[in-house]
Amino acid sequence: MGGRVNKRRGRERECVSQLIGKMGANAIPIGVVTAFFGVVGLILPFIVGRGPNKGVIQVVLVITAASCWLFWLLAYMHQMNPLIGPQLHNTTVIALQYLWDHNLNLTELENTTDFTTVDFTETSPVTA
Amino acid sequence: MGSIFRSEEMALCQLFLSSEAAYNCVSEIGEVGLVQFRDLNPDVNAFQRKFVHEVRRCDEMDRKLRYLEKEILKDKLQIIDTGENPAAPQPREMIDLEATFEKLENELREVNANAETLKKNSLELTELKHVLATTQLFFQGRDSEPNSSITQNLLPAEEGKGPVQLGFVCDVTNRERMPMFERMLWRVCRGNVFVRQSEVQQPLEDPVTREEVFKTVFIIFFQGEQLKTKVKKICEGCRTTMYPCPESAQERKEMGQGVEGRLADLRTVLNQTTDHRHRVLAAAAKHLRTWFIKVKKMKAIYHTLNMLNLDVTNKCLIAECWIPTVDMGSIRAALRKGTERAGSSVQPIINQMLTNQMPPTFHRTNKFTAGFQNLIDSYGIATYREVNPALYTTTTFPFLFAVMFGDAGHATIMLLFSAWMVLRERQLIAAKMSGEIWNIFFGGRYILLLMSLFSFYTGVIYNDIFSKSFNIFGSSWHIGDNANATEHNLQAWGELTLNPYYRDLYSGEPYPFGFDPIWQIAVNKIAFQNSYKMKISIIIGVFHMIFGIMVSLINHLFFRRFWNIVCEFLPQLIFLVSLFGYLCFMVFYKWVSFGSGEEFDIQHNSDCAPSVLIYFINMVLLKKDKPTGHCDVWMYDNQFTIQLILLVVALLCVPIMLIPKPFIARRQHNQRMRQLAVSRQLLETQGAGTSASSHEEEFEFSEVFIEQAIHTIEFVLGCVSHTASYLRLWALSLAHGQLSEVLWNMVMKIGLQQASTVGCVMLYLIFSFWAVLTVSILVLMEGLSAFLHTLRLHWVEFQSKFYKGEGYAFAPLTFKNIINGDEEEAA
Repeated sequence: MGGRVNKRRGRERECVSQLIGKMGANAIPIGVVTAFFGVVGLILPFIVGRGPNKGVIQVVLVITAASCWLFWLLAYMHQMNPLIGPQLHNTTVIALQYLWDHNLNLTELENTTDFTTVDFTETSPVTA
Repeated sequence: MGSIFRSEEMALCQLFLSSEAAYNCVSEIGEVGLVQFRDLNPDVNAFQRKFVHEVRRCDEMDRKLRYLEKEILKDKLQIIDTGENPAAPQPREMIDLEATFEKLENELREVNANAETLKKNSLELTELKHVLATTQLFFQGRDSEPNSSITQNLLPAEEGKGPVQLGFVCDVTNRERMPMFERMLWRVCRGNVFVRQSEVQQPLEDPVTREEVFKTVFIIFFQGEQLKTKVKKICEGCRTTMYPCPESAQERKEMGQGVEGRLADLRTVLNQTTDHRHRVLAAAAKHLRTWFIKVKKMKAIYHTLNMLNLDVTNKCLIAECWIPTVDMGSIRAALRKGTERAGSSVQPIINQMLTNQMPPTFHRTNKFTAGFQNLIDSYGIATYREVNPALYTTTTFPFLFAVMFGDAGHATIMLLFSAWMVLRERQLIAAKMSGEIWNIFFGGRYILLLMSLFSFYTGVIYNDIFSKSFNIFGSSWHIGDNANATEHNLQAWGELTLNPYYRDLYSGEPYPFGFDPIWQIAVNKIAFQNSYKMKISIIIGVFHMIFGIMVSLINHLFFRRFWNIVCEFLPQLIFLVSLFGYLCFMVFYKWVSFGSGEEFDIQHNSDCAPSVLIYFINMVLLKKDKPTGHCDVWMYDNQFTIQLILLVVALLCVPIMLIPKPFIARRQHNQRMRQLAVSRQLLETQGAGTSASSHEEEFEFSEVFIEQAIHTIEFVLGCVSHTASYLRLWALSLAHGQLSEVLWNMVMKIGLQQASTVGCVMLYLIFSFWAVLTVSILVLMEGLSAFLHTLRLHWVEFQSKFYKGEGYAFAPLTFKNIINGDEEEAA
């Protein structure tokens, strides 16, 4: 984490979530997922498992928890500080503005020229 | 943890069985199924063994039973499977069984022969009946027209001769033979015969082949004796059946009635015969399965008894066998039971022997672990008491498969299939379906179930469901003002890239669980995913290999090879961690400290982000890059020094792997030789006899050194090549994703873009096409491919770190296969 903002050289103890927040992440997903796999991998093996298959069940739980948590963590960390952003078609941009961000006024588009794959004036069920 | 962690401890035991009790004891041991007998008579010919007669008798009984089974199946009777497990019969019961089978077989053969004769007779009578009916028609026509053309002379009549009398012969033959027969008749008789034929409408049953054949009745008219002989000879040659047919209508009618009467009688007798046969077979079918099991068990017991030695007094049999130590109690109980049943008073003796031979490897598996154990055993059976990789394979195998398969939709298809197999297990086993491919799938149902569960998870993380993404938590990427996505700009540009620097485009926090859904609709999805998947492949691979090296530590500790810990485990671990573990560290460090946005200073912004691979290569080549622009050369302070230290440490590990071990091995060997010599001297001075086999081990120093060199080179080069080999995780998951996307874009999307009612029908057809291709290519073919690659990763990359695999499997005498109805030959 060094070298980002050099002012923080002091020995101040910071809250973990702030630390995580500086990395470009959110504490809640990390906490929830880690807690879930912690239960599966560290607590469940002691509870579950009677009889002759106890060892197998314990090993399965531990390896499952470890590998699945690692897999989630890698996906999370890779997207934390992205170096490149998505490259979108212009039609996709308009679709996202309308569907996800809800900041597109369809009536404004009526008198524009052709879009290659979508014709809003005919197929859109609602007006913005 | 039980024997799935490592193979069970085996003891070599000597069994002393009294001759009367031997059969019963072996029978009880077979029921338990945990004893492997060694063949003490390997040089003896199969025909000279002690119990060869009994084995032959068992074979004979088996043959009779198989004949019975064939007859039962011919009559389509059901062989009842009660699921009971009859014990092997006593030797004296064998005679009773033989007598029963003999009687049944003879009776059946007799009944069959009778039925055949009856059927032949019935066939002849039926044909005769048809012949009579046909000739009746012919002659009716003739008699009613006395001036018909048949008898009219075409030549001018010679006075006083009157109408010419024609002789005739009646025959029946197969319909297929007719044209050939007719042609031959025409040629031979030079056209001087007249044939009238009529086909029999219903097919008749041929008694020998039991097929239904169509036959034709025909009458041949000729004039004169010579033609008559010729015609008769041709008929015999063509194998038609001739029937005498009286000329007058009255005689024909009488004959017809007689034939009808005889046919009715024959039919009654035939029915009774078939009923009798049916009853005999039904009674046998009830006991058939029990008999089969009894005979097979007897054969197995006698084969085993053939392996035993007779001792000097000829009163007891000696056996050498491998028994798992924990099962000694149950074996003793079985022996006691066997002795009781034989009514013998002499108790059998088990005597444990010490030996240098390597015992067989026995893994006690249940229905879940058996599949994975099979996978591992296909590569090589584990050495006696080394750690069993199958235990870890239960989870790492499905996980690595899932990394390559990662599509939640295809995983659901697989999950439905494997869950059905697992939940309907009992019924499917009872159904005893044949077909090798089905058995392969059914045997691996737990593997498939786990693979599909993990694949569902990785599909959710990759956010790939039939090449589409779910947007559950809301994407982190938005079209904000900084994108400049005005109408005018969008018309001018074909594509727009979102710059993660601005927080109204990238929210600063990643998608909480898995891949952001925006990437599925982005043009540069592959560039982003490639960087991700390559990194995770390397990280997962390095962790898997480190795990393998840790398992080798467990092996070294168990076998007390403490020098190996210093000379093999430590340098291997340090080598791997300092080079490839450092590579993983760099990946993590880059993820955390480089990014795009205002929180990152100018040296850590996205245009200064270094390539981890270039750093790694430069580390090994000890290269220093020149600074360019405003970017730092290094990721962190003192990076060059730290990398140099790591490289030196790793290189130092190589001679530690290579050199000390042969010297230590030689010293240990010399020590052992000295101890052996000392102990032998002691024994000789005490006057006792020499002990058992003294191994004069050869110790070739050069051989050991070369072997160690090979191991070292294999490990060092293997580190590099195996780490790169894990990139197949990236390659296969990329291929899978791309195939899935192409299938959607080229097939399904076309269906969804159709308009109007014609489009509905088209969509229906296109969906079926898409579904077939999805299941066959993406689930089956890709599934098989990923399975194979995962298997290779386990066998080569993981197991080469610790697995020796030089054992042999435990092959006990067990009756379980016989009860399950497996067709296996006893040795």
